[in-house]
Amino acid sequence: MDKKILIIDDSEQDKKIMVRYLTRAGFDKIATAENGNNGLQKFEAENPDIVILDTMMPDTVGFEVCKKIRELKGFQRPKIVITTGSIDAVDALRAKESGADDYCVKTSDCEPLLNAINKLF
Amino acid sequence: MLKIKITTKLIFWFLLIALLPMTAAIYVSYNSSRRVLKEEINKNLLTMTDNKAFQIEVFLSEKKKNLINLSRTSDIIYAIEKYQSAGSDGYDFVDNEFRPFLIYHQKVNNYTNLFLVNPDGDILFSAGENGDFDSLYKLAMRNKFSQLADVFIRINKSRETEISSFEYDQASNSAAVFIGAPVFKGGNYIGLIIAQMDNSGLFKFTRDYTGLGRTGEVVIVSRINEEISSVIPLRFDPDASFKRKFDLSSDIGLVLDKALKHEDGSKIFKDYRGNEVLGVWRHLSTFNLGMVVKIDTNEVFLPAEDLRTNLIKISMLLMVVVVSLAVLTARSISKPIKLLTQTSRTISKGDLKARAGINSGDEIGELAQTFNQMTDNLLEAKAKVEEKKEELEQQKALLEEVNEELDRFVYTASHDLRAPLRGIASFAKFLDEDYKEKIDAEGREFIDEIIKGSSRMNKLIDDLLALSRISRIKNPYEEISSREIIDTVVERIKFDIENSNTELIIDDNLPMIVCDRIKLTEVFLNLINNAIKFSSKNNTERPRVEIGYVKRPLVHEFFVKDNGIGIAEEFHDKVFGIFSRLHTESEYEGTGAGLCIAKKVIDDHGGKIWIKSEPGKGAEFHFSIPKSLAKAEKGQKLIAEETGQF
Repeated sequence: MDKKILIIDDSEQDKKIMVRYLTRAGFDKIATAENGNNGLQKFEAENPDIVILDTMMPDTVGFEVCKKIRELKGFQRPKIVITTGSIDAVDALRAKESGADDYCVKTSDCEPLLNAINKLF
Repeated sequence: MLKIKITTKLIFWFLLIALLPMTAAIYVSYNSSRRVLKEEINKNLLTMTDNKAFQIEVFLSEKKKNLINLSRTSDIIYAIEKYQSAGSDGYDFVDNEFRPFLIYHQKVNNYTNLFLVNPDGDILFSAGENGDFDSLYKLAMRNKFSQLADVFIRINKSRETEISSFEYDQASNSAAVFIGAPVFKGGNYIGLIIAQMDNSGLFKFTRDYTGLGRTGEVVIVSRINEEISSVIPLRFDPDASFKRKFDLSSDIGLVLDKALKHEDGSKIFKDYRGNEVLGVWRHLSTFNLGMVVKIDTNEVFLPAEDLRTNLIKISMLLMVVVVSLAVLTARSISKPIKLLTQTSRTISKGDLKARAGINSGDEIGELAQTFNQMTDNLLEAKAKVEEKKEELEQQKALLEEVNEELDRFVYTASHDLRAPLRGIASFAKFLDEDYKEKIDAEGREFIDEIIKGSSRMNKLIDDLLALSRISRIKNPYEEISSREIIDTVVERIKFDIENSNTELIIDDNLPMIVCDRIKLTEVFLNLINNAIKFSSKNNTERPRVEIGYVKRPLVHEFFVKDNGIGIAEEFHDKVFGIFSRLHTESEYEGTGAGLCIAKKVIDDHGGKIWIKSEPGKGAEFHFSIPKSLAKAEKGQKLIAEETGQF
């Protein structure tokens, strides 16, 4: 697949896992960032098609970054999926309000994430 | 019970105490005074009657004496002789000679008429215009009631002074009574001198009303022509003289009849005016008369009436005084009581500062003091309670804070615990995938164990997380059909139900309940899942799960029954602990947190959860929800309010 993905997540472990499964799923253009600021910079630099946002990061909350991305002008509108270590119904609402396209839980086999991405296209 | 005010009671009793003796006094004094008055007046009347009778007797004696003296004078004797021997032609000459001095005697003695009669009954001389110079015998024959004739006949016979009864002289329209005396010359009876009197002499005595008050009257009667007739004018009937007759059918008639019959006495009777009178009667031997001296009882008893009236007036005054006193006394009692009552009311309405301001030194004052003291104590106690309440509130707030922190901690912890686990599981799998050829069977087994272990850990964390979520998230209570909840749950696990061939029996009469729908769904889910799991391990019969409802007055009681292997009583409490496990992992899938979560939810609803079970006899899980749950509980927080706090 030629969709560009940007993963904004502070967990090295999680990034490794996601990269592996995404690569196996056919995505070869994957960029990463480890916090909100870098994430935004990388976004402006790479302008990816899909952004995968972690909810909890050292400097900010995933929902805020999502909002900021939505506010950025002059970029192609990406699909945004917000991931979290633990699912919570109320956060789904928050995700939607921030402008995300979907919201899923992080698992060891990344299945919810892959499903969410598939649903987007 | 009749509600009678103190004032009314006191008035009643005061009046009773005051009026009873007063009434008795009035009654007794009235009767007593009447009796005394009657006796007094009676005595007075008797005295008066006797006096009058005496006076009349004296009067008559006088008259009698005068006549007797006159009859003995030589002038009279001479006159009779002369008149007798005069004959019809010498009559005028004799008359001229003697008339003047005879008239003189008549006038001087106040006689209505004066007669000189010879023993044959011929009237020799008559001072007045009698016109009847007939013989008195003839007169007697003509008029058998003629007192003049009668007295003549009697004197003739007795040769002594005689007095007639009263008669009515038609000619002069007045009363007439005759006194006669025989005239003797030298021992020979030569004739009579008869004087006629009217009733003025009598009337002189009866006209005196001294001692007779306003209504006293003297009645003097004579039996004339067989009738009882008054011989004098009466005080209340000036024309009574010989006109008023007293009938024997009347009270007074009877009395007068008695008097004429020489009886005397006194009593109260009705007189000719129809008035009630007290009268005394007696016979007057002089002139053969009956006399009654009477006085109206109204007048007699007037002092008694006055006394009674005055006493009654005093009583009225007394009543007013007594009532006032009663009211005052009652007020002095009821006013402080009312004040106390009002103060109580004010206090019970909420104003705890009110106090009864009664300072009297009596029992009510004491009561007020005690009451105030009690209120003070109450206030103190209340303040203490408030203090305690505040303490408790603080403690509760603290507890809630702690609980919240704990919940947050549990959540965060499980969340943070997951991340490394995720790592372990993922990388173990990668290891297995990428280095399959390079690792021997044992190594691969190790990797397998790593993966299994992390999977178990994950499950444990899931349970922990679920438990903490149940605590953190509080949904509003809603009214929902319990049947709907159960149907939802059954739908979710229908796969398991089909697979395990479980017979599911659901009660028909499931009620509407007020609860946290989401959480209660969890409860039913856990219980039914458990039931299915354990029933399906029963090898002897088809797994059967029954969901039922028990009607209770204050709670909704549900139960989930299975025909599994049962739970020994010693474990009935333990099963609800977190991560409790009665069977090894290999026998049954872990259900650790399910029951713990169920208990937490039921506890939060204010209900109870318990087990009825014995090994080998299946298990019945019961839980109850109070019927009176408010729809929106205060203290419910939705985690959405908190920004990113996990």
